[in-house]
Amino acid sequence: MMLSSVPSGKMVSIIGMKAENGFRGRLLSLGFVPGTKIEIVRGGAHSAFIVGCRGSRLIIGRELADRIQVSE
Amino acid sequence: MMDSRKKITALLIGNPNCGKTSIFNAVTGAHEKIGNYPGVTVEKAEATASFFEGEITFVDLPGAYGLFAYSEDEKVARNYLLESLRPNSDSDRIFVAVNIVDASNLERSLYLTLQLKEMGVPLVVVLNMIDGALIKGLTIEAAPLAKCLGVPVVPTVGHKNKGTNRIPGEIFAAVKSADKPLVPPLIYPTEIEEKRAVLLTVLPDAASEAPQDTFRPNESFRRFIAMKLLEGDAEVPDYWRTSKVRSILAHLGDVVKNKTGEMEESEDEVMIASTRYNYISRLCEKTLVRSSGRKRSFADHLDAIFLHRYLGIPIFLTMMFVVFYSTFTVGAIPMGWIENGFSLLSEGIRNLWPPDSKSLLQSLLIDGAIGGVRGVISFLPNILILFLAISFLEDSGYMSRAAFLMNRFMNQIGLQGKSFIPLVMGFGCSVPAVMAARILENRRQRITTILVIPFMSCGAHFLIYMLIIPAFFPPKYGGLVLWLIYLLGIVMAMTVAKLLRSTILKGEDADLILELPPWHWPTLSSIGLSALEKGWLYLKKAGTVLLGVSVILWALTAFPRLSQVDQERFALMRASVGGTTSELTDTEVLRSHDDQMTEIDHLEMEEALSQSYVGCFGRFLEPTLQTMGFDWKIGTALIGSLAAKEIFVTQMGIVCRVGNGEKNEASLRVALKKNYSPLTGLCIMIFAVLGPPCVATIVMIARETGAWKWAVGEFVFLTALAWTVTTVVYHLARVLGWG
Repeated sequence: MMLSSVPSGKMVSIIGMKAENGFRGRLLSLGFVPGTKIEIVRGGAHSAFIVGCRGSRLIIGRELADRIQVSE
Repeated sequence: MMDSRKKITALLIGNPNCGKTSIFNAVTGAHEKIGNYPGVTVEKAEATASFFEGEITFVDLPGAYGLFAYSEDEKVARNYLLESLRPNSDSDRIFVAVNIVDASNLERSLYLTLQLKEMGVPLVVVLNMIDGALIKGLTIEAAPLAKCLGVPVVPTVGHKNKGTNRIPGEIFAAVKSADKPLVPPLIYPTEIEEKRAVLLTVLPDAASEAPQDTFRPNESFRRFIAMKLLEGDAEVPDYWRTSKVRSILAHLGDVVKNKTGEMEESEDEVMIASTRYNYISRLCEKTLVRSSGRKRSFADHLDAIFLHRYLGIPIFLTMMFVVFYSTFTVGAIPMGWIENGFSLLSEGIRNLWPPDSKSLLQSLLIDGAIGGVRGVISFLPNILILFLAISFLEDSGYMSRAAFLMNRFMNQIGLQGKSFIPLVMGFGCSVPAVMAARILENRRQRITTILVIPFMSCGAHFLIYMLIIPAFFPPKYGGLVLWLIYLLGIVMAMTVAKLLRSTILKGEDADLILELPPWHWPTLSSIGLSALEKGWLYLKKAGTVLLGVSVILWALTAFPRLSQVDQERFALMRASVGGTTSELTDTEVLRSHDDQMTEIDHLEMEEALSQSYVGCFGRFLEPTLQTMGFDWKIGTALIGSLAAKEIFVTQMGIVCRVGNGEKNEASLRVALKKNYSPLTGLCIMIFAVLGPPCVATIVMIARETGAWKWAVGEFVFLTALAWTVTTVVYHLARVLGWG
């Protein structure tokens, strides 16, 4: 499933991503590598999501969240 | 051994929000010098400090998450680092990287550290914000970290100046010690290592292959570059990409990102990043001691309120209101003191000459120099408060939350949450705001944001509004008019952004990634320093650009002087009135005599002004100005305001010749009210909010967009827009019988 469909409060792990224009590299350098466990702090139907990853929190736009594949 | 002649430059590098600036201020005593990076113009803080062992020049690089340049800031930091580290044999300068690591965010921070280590650069790691880590329940053992990385690790609390005094000593030590390898070594998957080995056989390693200079990369640096090429880094300098290298890369099946930004996905990139992060995770297991610590509950409560689905935006709007309200009410108090100081100064200078002197030097000093900068300098308290408030919002972590709240709305106008930050800064000054747009990775969104920043009324616009509003509008409507003018700018910014994003800057909505920093109570010294620094730049501008422009404008207003014939004509008029003075005793008659003399003075000034260069130019433009309800005098002030918006006020003072050169704002308002209608006042403000920004902003737009076409286009578009809207408003109001 995609990150954008995960409800608030859930922990999921990253499988892969299809981001373009360097955004994949950006996500990778922020620690979004396959296998990483992330916490969805604000999920659901927002225009932006708040995700906890490796001890820090990030705001991720909906477009990008639609392209990050995760599993429970 | 370090050669005593060698100079050391310490490059401070770290993630955004890692407390880099507080470390910089602590080690240098904050005597920074604002300069520019070669090539790109970015504000760069640099300071040299002396220590027992020698001198170190500290350079504060923009924040970066890694050595792969994604944002403009990262590009600057990365390229500066790459350029500095080209060991040039005849250079007597040694570069040391001082990597500031946020201890409360160790894993992510070490990603950059690891890459610096791979580069083989002399390195000192500063483990900053250990207090923040403790709050999160994290204790970091510096010794195992130092042992594994093979570099000194200095634990600090930068904003409290704890531990920072050890940094210079470690820098000197790092220069002397040899490059120690990582323990255990960082090993990439066999597949990657094999590709790298092949690449290394062809990668240039001698001076002969590099152009001109005597560039001799050491082995770690070559290995690092090979890895960058495998990652698909488009910005690896061309001298590394020999034809052999390119053919090997093609052969290895690695699509290298080219400079035009077209990118192909390379699976190697994922593998390389994963390897590094796995290494870091293992490293953290050895150095991080987790205890329960204080829960993040308080911060979470704050977020629950500030990011609340319904309350978030009203809270945000209230905060903005408080910021502006306090800026202008609190700032008014010291503003009064400064105004009084200037009046005393003018008076003092005036008294150096006999009372009715027509000295050109006196006029230059009082009308040109002091008249030009007083309006600007007296505004300094407001600017300081506004910058203080903006720094507070940024440092506390609220700005990122505001960007989150505004994201949905910003998406609707083709921008994104992050665009919001430079736009808010635009209320202070457009120049730093244009630079702040660098946080946007997407070029089209970035240019759009930059182009609409001038609609945000800046501090100097406010000066114009504060001159006009009390002159023409009753006090009870003053606030409303001011609010409407700001709102007009905001609405136009949104409209134009939407328009640009659906026409010339059309393109997919860029993805949003922004760190949500932990809540942090900013220290007065950190935000104070940042506000003082900006205040100082503002003063410097007043002392240089504004002073220069004021003097030039003064000269254009004062020359050419009235012809001999005209001067004699006015002298005759005076003589005809003055001839009878001695016989007069009646006070009534005496007053009328004085009035007549003043009247003659005014007539002479009016005549002189209309014959001056400014007057000629203003009258030349008059047909265009009349459609907006402006006369040539307002026209000259509008032209002057291109140099800096503040000049509008001073130029109106010069052309209205208020109270015989005494440029008192209150009397200027009286003069305005006498000569113009409230409609003209409104039109001036509309033109100011929509019209072209000052020259400094135009130049900054050209630099930041990398093309003069945007800057020139912006200028032409805004001038045309302001002219059209103002003309329509003026005529519409006339038709409706107002003004």
